Amino acid sequence: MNVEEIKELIQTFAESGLEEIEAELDGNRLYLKRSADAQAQVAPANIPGFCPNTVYTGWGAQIGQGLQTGQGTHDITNGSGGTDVIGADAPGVAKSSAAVGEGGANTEMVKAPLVGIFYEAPAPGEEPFVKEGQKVKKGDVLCVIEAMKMMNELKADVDGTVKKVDVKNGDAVEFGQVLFEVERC
Amino acid sequence: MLKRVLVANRGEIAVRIIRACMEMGIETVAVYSEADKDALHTVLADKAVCIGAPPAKDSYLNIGNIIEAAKVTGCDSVHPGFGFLSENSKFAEICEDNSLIFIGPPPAAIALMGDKAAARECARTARVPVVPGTAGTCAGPAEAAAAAKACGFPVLLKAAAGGGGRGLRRVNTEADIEAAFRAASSEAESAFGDGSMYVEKFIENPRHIEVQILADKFGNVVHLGERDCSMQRRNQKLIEEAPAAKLSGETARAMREAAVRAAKACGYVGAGTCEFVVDRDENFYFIEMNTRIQVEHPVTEAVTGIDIVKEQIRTASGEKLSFTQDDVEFRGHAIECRITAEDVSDGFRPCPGKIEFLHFPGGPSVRVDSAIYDGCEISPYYDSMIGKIIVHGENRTDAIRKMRRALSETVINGVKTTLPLSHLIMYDTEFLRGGFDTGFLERRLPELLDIYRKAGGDN
Repeated sequence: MNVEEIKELIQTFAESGLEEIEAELDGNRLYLKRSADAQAQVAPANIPGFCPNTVYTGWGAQIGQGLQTGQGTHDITNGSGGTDVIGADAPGVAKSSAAVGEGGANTEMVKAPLVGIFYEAPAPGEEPFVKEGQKVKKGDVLCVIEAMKMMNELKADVDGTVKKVDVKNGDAVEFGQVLFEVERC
Repeated sequence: MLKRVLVANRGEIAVRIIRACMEMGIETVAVYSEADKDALHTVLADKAVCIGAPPAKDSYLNIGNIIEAAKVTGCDSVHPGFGFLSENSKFAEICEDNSLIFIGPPPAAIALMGDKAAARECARTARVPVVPGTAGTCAGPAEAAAAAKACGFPVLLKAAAGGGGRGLRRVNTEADIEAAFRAASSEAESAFGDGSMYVEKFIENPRHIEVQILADKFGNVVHLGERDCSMQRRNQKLIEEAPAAKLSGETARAMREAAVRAAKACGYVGAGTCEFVVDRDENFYFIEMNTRIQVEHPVTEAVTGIDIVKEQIRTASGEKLSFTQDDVEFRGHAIECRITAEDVSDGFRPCPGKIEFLHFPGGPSVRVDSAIYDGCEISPYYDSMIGKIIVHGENRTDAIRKMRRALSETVINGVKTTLPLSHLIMYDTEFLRGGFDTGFLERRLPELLDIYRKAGGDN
């Protein structure tokens, strides 16, 4: 094994996704192993200006790949566009975006009862179940949340008018996340 | 190597797992119930997902929400921690069905060791000594009575689906066994969904000594030595140490090798612990295997220098163990004191509340694993353990001195804790001598509390 061959092997290894490799050529043994420290130097994905060296670049990357459901592929376009819709980075930071209203005595905050993907319509291309300004009755289906390959219908608990839709089609939602604000009538 | 782990737990173990991932450059996703929205683990993780209402069954035991949280955040793996779903083979299977690597043993090994009667049989076939008793479960009270007569009273009636000190019932004479069997079986049915029972000879006040093992997916299994966990109250550990004091080298060696055999026999992968009871004559018997990381893992880490959580992650990624048994060396002695928010003067009643002032000990060879911080709330929904203080000394005496110092400077105001009791034990002659058994606290607690009160202790 000459120096050039070794360099080539190292280069190929570095570019691959392999963790370790053992090679024996002409009686010479070469063992390469990726160092755990090298991974620790990957720049965190949320610092502006850094190009993250990881595969995952945000919610959009996951959802945009299209989801295989029991009912066949449901192709979701990049609904969330890479924005964090889930979770806070520190205690005290508001869970939902600043756009979620304060509510008020007469507003019903409709929250996600489980973790899953929010769909505004029964199927892609169809009309959404509800739009802002629309009147709803108790029992009307407001949206569908997909979880564990099952579609769960979320129904209105009250009669009223949909004041605001707080999430976008295809958003991943967590338990307790505000989805709709409904003005009771 | 794993890229993004969903940490399916809370409290100090979730923090522990997140820290290991951070050091390995692995992203983390925390899950939390509504009661934990300001918990430390949610802050440290890269992302946090709310998975349900405070009760565990709605959140930390909610398999659907946890799996979904892992998938929507693009996780490739799940670390279950301890408790909750960590020994739920169904959960491990569901992870696999959803292309999530479960950081733990294969579902079959979890199921096998989760059935305490089957685990006994597996150990027996691996030439690991088991407590005299039934082979497998009892068909009914008659079989239990026959087994009890064979190994001699008193006996323990144990639920096959139990474990961790639950589903146990002591029976002293033959006359009591039928009624006890029926009662225990129906209790087990409602608590664990499985009323199967088996019988073990009751060993009076044994020592509880367990062996840590690590295994990779290539069949390599090593032990990391034993831990003495005999300081218990009602089967709940208070203080743990590594290595076990007053245990002959020969017995320690035999136990360690037996644990490795048991792990190999069930096709184990990852970190696991074989629990043994040891009688006064140093006869040791396998009672069960815990197929998860354990609370007291830090004492083993201290004496071996091996990061067990990182090894869990590496073996789950498909890496070979990077060391052999010969590479494992033991240095010094480590002690861990669990801190639980309980009132020792009031029957160890749990004391949820708010931490008003917190000062944890520091200094060389002192480690604190905790998720509490100044001003945080201890909620009543989960178990009352709020942290662990671990010290590592050159020998057992040195470790005890360090623990005395560490506990004496610790301040946790706002909730009552078991710390003063642990501190007192650090000065107790029987504890200092070592070799105490699991009957220690039961026997000595009233006296210790009395000393504490007389010394003006106010908790």
